[in-house]
Amino acid sequence: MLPPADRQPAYVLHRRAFRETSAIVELLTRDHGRVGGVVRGVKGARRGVNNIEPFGQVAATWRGRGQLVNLFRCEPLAPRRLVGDALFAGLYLNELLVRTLSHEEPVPALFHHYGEALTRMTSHGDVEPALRLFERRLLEELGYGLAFDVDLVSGRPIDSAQNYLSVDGEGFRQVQGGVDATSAASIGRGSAGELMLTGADINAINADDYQKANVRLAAKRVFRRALERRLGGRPLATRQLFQHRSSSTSIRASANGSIA
Amino acid sequence: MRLSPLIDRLIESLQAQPGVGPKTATRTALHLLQHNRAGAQALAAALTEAAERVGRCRACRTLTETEVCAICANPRRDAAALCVVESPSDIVAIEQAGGFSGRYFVLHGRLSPIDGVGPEELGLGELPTHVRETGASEVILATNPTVEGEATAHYIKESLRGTDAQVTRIAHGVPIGGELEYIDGGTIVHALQGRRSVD
Ligand SMILES: [Zn+2]
Repeated sequence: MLPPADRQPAYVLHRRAFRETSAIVELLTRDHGRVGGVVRGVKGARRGVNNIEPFGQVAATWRGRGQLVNLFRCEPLAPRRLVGDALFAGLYLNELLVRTLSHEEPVPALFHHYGEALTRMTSHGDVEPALRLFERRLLEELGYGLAFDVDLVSGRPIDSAQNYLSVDGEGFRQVQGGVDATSAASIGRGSAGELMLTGADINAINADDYQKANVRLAAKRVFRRALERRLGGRPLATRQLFQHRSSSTSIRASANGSIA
Repeated sequence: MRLSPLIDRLIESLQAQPGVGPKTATRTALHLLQHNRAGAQALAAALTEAAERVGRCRACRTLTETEVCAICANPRRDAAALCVVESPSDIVAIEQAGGFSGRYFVLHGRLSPIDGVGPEELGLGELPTHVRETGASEVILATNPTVEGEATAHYIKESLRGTDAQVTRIAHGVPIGGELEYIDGGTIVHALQGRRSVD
């Protein structure tokens, strides 16, 4: 039996109305990972429905464990308001966490990374790098991190001038002969459906350097493929938001497509 | 405590309604049966008929038993201003406040991807067509100032880019008569971000 958690710092990932005045919330806590719980009496003008909202930080107090704990208190500490692209990106992160984390599996570093991702998204107009950085950290925390620094076969450092094929759940191996390095696009595919990337793109991803559009595209595909293995076939619903949006926004769609 | 199967069923049904606790449900049930049989019959008939016949307005999707609701059918309502709301009860609130003479579009919800509510579930695909067909020049997004309400507003704003309508968002912030020191942090952040120059 876990000791009761007292005023545990947490981010709100989701809130759903429950009965007349209560809510079911999903939290990313600092020491206990994802925690789902019932908070009573959060609705009504006086109490302020905005107080326990996604992205905001709360201090949560609960006892017990399981799918749904009883949250005695869920005090709002710092609200955070995301707008525009950052709002959709934030919802994407939240869905990603709810879908990939099991309840009360401690992921201490993620609490920090999540906060950093929100801050990045709030302060920069460009949210895509923040998403990729977070996806990379999430995979690492889940134990599905990829090696971006060495060729899996030879063990040698990734060579910017070579092409590589993805190895699911592990990293990359160099393409042997017959492929023209200049013609192989960073978004190509191998014969078995693996992703094909240039060494330069892999090195940029490893350095978290997302200045170039081709690096963004390559990273999006690499992380999406890696996450799909954790998501078990059911697609993320928040991706729909980006897809519909980019199809109605022809300029952006042609520039870089959806960002998640 | 248990009364009889039929009375218990009535109490349970009443209790399932918003704002009705076990005490009120019991009192209402006993009152109807003890003192107001005619009222009980009338309530039952009204419920049955409403549940069978009330559907959605073809134009704005609000609840009505006619093909087009009274607001949409009213030629004096301004088709140039279209107000998008989450639920029919929002229409009631705006109508009671007065001052808005345009028309509405009801989403019957808000985007909530984690709960499986996406753009399709809200009929958002029909909205651009609706705006073009009605010739609305302004679309007022009156979804709630929650994260999901904001996401819904943002999505609609993006989806209406291809139309000629100007898209506006209702203002949120410090309530009239409110005092800053008693207002929650979220509202203050929102009010500060939505600040505007003094007229
Ligand atoms: Zn109507």
